[in-house]
Amino acid sequence: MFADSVKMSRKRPFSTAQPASTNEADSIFLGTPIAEADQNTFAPVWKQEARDERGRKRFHGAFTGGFSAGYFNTVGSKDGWTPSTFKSSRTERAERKALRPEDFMDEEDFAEQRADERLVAAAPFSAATSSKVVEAGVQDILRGAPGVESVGYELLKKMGWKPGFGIGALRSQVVAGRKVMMPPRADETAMSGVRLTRKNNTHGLGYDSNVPSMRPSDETGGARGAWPAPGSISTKKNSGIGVGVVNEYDDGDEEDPYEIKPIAYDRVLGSKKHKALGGASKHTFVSKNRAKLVSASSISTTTTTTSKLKRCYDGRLPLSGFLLVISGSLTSSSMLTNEKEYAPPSIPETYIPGILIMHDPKTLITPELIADFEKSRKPSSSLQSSSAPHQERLSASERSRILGSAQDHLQGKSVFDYMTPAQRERLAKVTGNQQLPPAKSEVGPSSTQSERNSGERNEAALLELVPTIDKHQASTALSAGFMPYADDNEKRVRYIIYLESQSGTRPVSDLLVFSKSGDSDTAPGKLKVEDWMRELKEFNKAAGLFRPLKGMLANRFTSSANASTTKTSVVEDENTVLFHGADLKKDLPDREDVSAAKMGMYGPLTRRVSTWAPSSLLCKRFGVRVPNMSAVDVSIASAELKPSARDRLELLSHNKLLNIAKDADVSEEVTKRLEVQNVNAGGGSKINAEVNEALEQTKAPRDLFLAVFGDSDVEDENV
Amino acid sequence: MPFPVYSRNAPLKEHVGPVHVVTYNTTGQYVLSGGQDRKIILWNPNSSKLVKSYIAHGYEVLDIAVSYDNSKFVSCGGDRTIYLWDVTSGSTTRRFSGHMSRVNAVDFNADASVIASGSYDAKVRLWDTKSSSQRPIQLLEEAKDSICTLQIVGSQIITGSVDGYVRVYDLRMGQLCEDLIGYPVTSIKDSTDGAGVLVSTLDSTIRLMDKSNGTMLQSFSGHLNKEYRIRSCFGDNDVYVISGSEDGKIYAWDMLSRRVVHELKGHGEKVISCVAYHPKKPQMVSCGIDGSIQVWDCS
Repeated sequence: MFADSVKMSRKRPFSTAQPASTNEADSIFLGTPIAEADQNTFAPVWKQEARDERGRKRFHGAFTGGFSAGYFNTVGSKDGWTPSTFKSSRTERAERKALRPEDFMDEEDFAEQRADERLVAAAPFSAATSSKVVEAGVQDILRGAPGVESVGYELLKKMGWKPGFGIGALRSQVVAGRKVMMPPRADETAMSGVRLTRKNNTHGLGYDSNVPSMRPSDETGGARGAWPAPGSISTKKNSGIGVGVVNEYDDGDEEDPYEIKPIAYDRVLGSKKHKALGGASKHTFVSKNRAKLVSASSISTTTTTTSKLKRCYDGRLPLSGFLLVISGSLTSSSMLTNEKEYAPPSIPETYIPGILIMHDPKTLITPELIADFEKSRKPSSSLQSSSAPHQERLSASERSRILGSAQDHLQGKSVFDYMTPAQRERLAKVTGNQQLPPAKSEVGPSSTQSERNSGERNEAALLELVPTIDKHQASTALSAGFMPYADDNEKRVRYIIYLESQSGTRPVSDLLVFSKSGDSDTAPGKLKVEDWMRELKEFNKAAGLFRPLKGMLANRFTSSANASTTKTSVVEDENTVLFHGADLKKDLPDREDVSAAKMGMYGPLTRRVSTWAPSSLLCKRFGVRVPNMSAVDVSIASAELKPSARDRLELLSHNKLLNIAKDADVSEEVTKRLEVQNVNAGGGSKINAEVNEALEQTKAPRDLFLAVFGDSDVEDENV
Repeated sequence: MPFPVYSRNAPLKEHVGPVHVVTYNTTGQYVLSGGQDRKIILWNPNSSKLVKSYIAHGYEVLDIAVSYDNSKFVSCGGDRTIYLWDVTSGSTTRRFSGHMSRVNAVDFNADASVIASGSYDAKVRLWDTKSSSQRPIQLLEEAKDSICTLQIVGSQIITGSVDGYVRVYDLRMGQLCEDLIGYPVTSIKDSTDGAGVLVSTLDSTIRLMDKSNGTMLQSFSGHLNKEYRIRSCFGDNDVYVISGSEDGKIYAWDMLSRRVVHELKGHGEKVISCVAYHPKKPQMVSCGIDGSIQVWDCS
């Protein structure tokens, strides 16, 4: 029963996180449990400290048993409770201190008092009290509010100023026959010296460019305005020194005249002294002769001090034989160098200045040419030039012809030269502009003409474009057992000729035989220039590919159908691989050099010389000049990129040829041919790979075609 | 001058195992030897006393070359590294690695700025002692088999390889001359006048080849050399040709007549791997696979 009542009276705990007690029957929860945050913040009584809102300790030591009696409890001061000064002696008795209300006020009272305070102008300053009228004649600056005498006014009066006078130092004036020191008049005060204009420069205040001592010195560097030269700021009455900077600053970012610029360390202070004494800067040795010369010549110069001996800055004379030289003066440069004056070269009479002939070196400059040119250049007299017609003037093309410059056919020509008058009229009608140049129906330079003119040059250019192969490579390609282009004998011949030209047995110009020179060349077997170039490129690649086999593989492979043509006497250039103890004779029986070595016939047969490129660093280390060959820098990086011997072994395949053909961008037909070839080769056994009848048959005569397909009424057209 | 035939002092037995190389320094005052025991010993041939030993190699020492000023020498061996030593301090100044197998031969160039090393991996690497680069200046890869021997003479690098070729790389001309000897070349030595190269091959023959045209000037035989690298050298200003042999004898031929003039027994009848002749006086030093080093003098 009791347990039941307890259960019912149990209140839910405040915090839901509180775990439910295990023994529910026993415990009673009354009141709200402490919140989580506060659970661990209660310290034992002896730890707890009382502090006021300022953080100062309350309950001073007196409460805990100490003796401290004040300060935070507002009895006393930081230094301790200082009693009021009490002096008592036989002569002086302590004075009774008058008590003020402040003594009885506490912090809160003070705060209240401060809040009640108000800032008002003092009696003499407040508007209500003053009633004097300001006298006119003083500038507005001194005036305060209109109708009110300002403080400045009062201050000036206190300093001895009387209204009506200007401001400035006293000046001696003649008044009533006597000299009297009087202040300046009101309208011409020192204020007039103040420029109320915007100051745009960086000069110091009071800078006056008219004053020579203020001008910038010759010293290098020096931030202008950083240090106003001593004495430059005049303290005369004219300058408005002491008056504040009254310029208005329009934008906030003005040059601050008081800004301290970074110190220039190359300025010399006090060097003005030297300058002032005539500017002599250094001693320069001048020999006696020179000195005489100088003194003689300087009479005519502007130096006025020739009569006087120039002295150094300390007053002493320069050393004997030396002459003080003003650096930068006329005499200094000429004296310091031993130059003699030479007369300028005499110009021949026939010289006409200003001719710059840029011409084609092939044309000779003949006297006639020059005469022509001079005639055209000769300035006509002024009388003539204004009224004479411009027929004498040469046109641009004529001038170029005279000069012999390379004739550009189109130079100086406008499109109207080539137009007919009818076309010109049409143009003029359309544009509405009748002021077009006259039309001369010329015939433009045709392609054939230009070719003829530069035929020679063309050939040379073509030859230059021929892709080259290394001589060695070309000769090895020639000696290879297999010659490509078995199906096209003509092409094979061209290939062989190309290889021969590259290996040096033929002149390169032979290659031109196959290229068509100009449109008129319709000889069979000749290729158009583009085709010719393409073919040469193809040959170039093929030569790199069809090299003879190397090493052991040469023994394993023989070329088909051409075995008879391989030359066995040619020594192929590869290295033997000889293993320890191996017998050369056994392994490589048909190598010439090996058999020669075996026989003991050492000499040219066993010797092989090839080019080798030492790296430039190696040559440098050995102190040897790099040998003159194409490959100079054989660095390790490039050496490692060299393909190994294995990679160099190439197998012949039609596929390779096919790829080359494709690369060289040969026409479709050729690739087709090759592919047909492939098919044929893979097909029946009796096919002759050399001849392709299907493609090589001659076409049936045209008449036959027409007879079969054509219309009898078909017109004859240019095909 | 007479040929040094007398072994006055007992052979030096500091090395344990075969001694692969002996060489004089440029003045002939000292001899450096290196062997299978990975040690290099500097010693005085006149007193047969050990001066200094240099120990750093991890594998056998196969070749030593001394610089022109005798202040440093370079050694190579089975650990595929080339060690550049300072003679006085006895420590390695530089090490060059890069070869893929044991290094068989090293040499300096004239001013010791380049070290050439030939290795079993058929490559010759040229190292720069002046820079601190770890990579060789150049790589000579023309050989097809192990490089057994090499020598730098002036601006030429001469290498001999097991593939039967003697290759002369001429820096000045920028050309490579390959002379097929036909047999594995194990030792080459340039003659004093620079016109010929002494080539030892594994067919028990030593040939003197003409550098200019590749012809054979002279051949020397009588010794046995079929398996080991046995070095040969010139003696007494190219008057003699000296070589060790696999039959435990040192052979000396007269260069002009190609006759065997001396046969010296020593080294326990074992293979004599290397002989070196004094640069100035008639003295010779030889080493063998029994680990002994013998100095030969004239009486």
